Amino acid sequence: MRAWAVWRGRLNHDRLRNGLLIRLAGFRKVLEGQIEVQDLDEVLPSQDESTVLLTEIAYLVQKFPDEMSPRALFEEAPLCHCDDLVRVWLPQAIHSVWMEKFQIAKLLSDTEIAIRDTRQAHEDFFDELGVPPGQLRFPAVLRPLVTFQQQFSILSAAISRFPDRILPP
Amino acid sequence: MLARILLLDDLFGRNVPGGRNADRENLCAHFLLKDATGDAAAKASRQRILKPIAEVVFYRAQTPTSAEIGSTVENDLQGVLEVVRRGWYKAAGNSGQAVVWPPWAMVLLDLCFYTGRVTEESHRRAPGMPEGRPGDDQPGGYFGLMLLDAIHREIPELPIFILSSKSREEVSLEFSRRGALGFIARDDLRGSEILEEALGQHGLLPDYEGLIGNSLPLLIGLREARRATRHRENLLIRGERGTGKELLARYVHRMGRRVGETEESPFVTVNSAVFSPTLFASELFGIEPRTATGVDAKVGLFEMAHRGDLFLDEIADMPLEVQASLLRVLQERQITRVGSRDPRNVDVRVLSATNADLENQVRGFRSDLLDRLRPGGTVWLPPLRERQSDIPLLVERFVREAETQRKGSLRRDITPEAFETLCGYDWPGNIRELRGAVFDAVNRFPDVEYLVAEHLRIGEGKRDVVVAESREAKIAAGQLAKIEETGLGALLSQLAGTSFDAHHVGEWAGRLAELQYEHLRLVARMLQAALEATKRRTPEKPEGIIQIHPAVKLLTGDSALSASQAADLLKRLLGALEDELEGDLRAAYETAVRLRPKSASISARKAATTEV
Repeated sequence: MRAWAVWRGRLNHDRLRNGLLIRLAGFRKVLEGQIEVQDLDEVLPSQDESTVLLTEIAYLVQKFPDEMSPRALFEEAPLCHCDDLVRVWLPQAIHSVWMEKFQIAKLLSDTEIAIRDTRQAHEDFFDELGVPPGQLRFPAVLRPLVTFQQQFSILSAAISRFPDRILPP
Repeated sequence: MLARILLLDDLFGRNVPGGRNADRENLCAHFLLKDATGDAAAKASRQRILKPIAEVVFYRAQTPTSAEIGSTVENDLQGVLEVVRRGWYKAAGNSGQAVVWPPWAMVLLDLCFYTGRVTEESHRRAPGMPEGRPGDDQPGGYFGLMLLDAIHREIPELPIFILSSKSREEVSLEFSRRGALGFIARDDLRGSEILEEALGQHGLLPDYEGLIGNSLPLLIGLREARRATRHRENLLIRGERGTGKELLARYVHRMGRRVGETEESPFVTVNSAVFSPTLFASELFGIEPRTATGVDAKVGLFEMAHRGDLFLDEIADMPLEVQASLLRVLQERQITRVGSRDPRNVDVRVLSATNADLENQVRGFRSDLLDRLRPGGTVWLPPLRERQSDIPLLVERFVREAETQRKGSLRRDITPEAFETLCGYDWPGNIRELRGAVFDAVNRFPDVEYLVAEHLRIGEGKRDVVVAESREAKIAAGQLAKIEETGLGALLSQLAGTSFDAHHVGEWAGRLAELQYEHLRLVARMLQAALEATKRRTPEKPEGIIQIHPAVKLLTGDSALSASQAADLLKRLLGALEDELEGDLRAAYETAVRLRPKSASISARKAATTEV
């Protein structure tokens, strides 16, 4: 499996779906009064965690064309042994066909929109959560939390749509 | 009490240094599950779920369960199967032993299990997490699918759902093919609702309020009942007498409460046999008041049950006139009170119950009414002999009830021998009979600390009574009389109309010996006819002389049968009925024994259960 796909798996499967999204769901149950906790601070979502995760996801998406285009195969054996003249035009030609055939530009722009919307939901949620703990108004936090969860789910689905191997054009 | 789910994965079931497993707590919070694993992580949890939907036992399907940096993590198929078995065979009587707790209500199974060495980097991502090997996270290499195969092959009745954050699409064919009932995305925002729905539809859940027991046949019956409540359709409940059909109807009523309904909806119960052809209308539909005649208003059963359930017990005993009226109400969803012309709409679900074979009832039960009584399906309640592992729980409950009822009686323990005696009887009267036997023992021996086998009076003459009752009932119903009067034609139509479909399996299973015995008697009577037909008659002996060889050839249709084979066959057939043979059959049997003294004789009981 390509390094990019492994990286995507770690981010999307391990840290987002098995980590952040489950934590947010648990926090939501606390807000909804279905769970009592000894210390609210322990279950408050970490702004740093989601900020870092969003930054890494954006970087992951940005690196996709470099890492998963068939053009990348020309950096590795055996295609790296092609003569220099061929390497001037063929990788780029194959890349263009690949972009067109698999509608990579659309895939990238859809994911970028999902990242932008998630960032907005992230800000809205932490703005509401940012008041001193004693003044936390649960119903007011609930709505931006739900939006934040939904946006992260949409983003997760968008990342899943990227192929996990180099597709031949 | 809560249902218990077993959750198998590589992440949450893991013991982590320091005890507290925050990932596991979050998962429990998300799905509203109470952590019943009992390990350090469960004890260290600092959250309390106010209304959990189930208990969950986490198990890491890998060794070691607590990994550190430098450990090598491997998948552990045998270890998983041991845990699954422990919560299945030793619980709920699936081992034939006393019930301690219900079996797993469901298994939730992860797909991807990372193996290999735990490195600093992988440990930083999640404590104890190995770095993974090629193929671990590829659909073709998912250990979860291998586990699914192994568990489903060993215990096909155990409901299994996939719980994963992997893509459903890439495994949907494989998990269905291997026996999983569905897929729950771990990060689904409606996670707890989806799991609760899956538990209700597929889980093996006891009834904590009415029907006592954790045995598999009962849990399957309860599951069928819950499934039938999804749509508010009329439902037919079938089962032998004394199995608790009304309790099952009440269970259906509780489970089928409308979503968002806060008020208690009515549950009205009536025995169908009490309706008289002249007064049933006022009972069922009520009476309109009349000032001129001074007749008071009366609310009928249908109106009482409006927006709720009407339970019609012993539906087979409903007079034909009442059947016709009931059919109209079920079709039109309207009733008209006696003395009124204005129909009223009623919203009633009819739950009916019977232990009779309605489809083949000689006296007649309207098939169009039967169709209207079961659009929601038929739920079968197993007889007690099929759920013997529930007997200890039932006995415990009945002993306490009897002690409470008989004030001043000592609280007693039940000895193993008493349980053995109770479990060794097949309870034709089912739970009602068991309850009676326990109450009888407590009432006769109120001043003892132990209920022992000698206190129990069970099965004394009950078999004969049952058979006699059954015969009397059949004669009363005209069944036997008809057969005897009209002979072979009626018998053939009776046999042709008898169905042995899947629904009857539970009923037949415990009565195989009885069925075989009756079949044997039928064959003996056919042999008697064959003996009569093949008698050699002479002027000296006008009544005829029986001939075994031609008679058996006639009976079997085998013209190549030798005389000694015919004698052997007859001896084997009639040996099972030796004590009750008379006339020609006895003479034929004695002749066959005289002719073939050396061939093995088979005892009546053995032949009845194994040879015919």
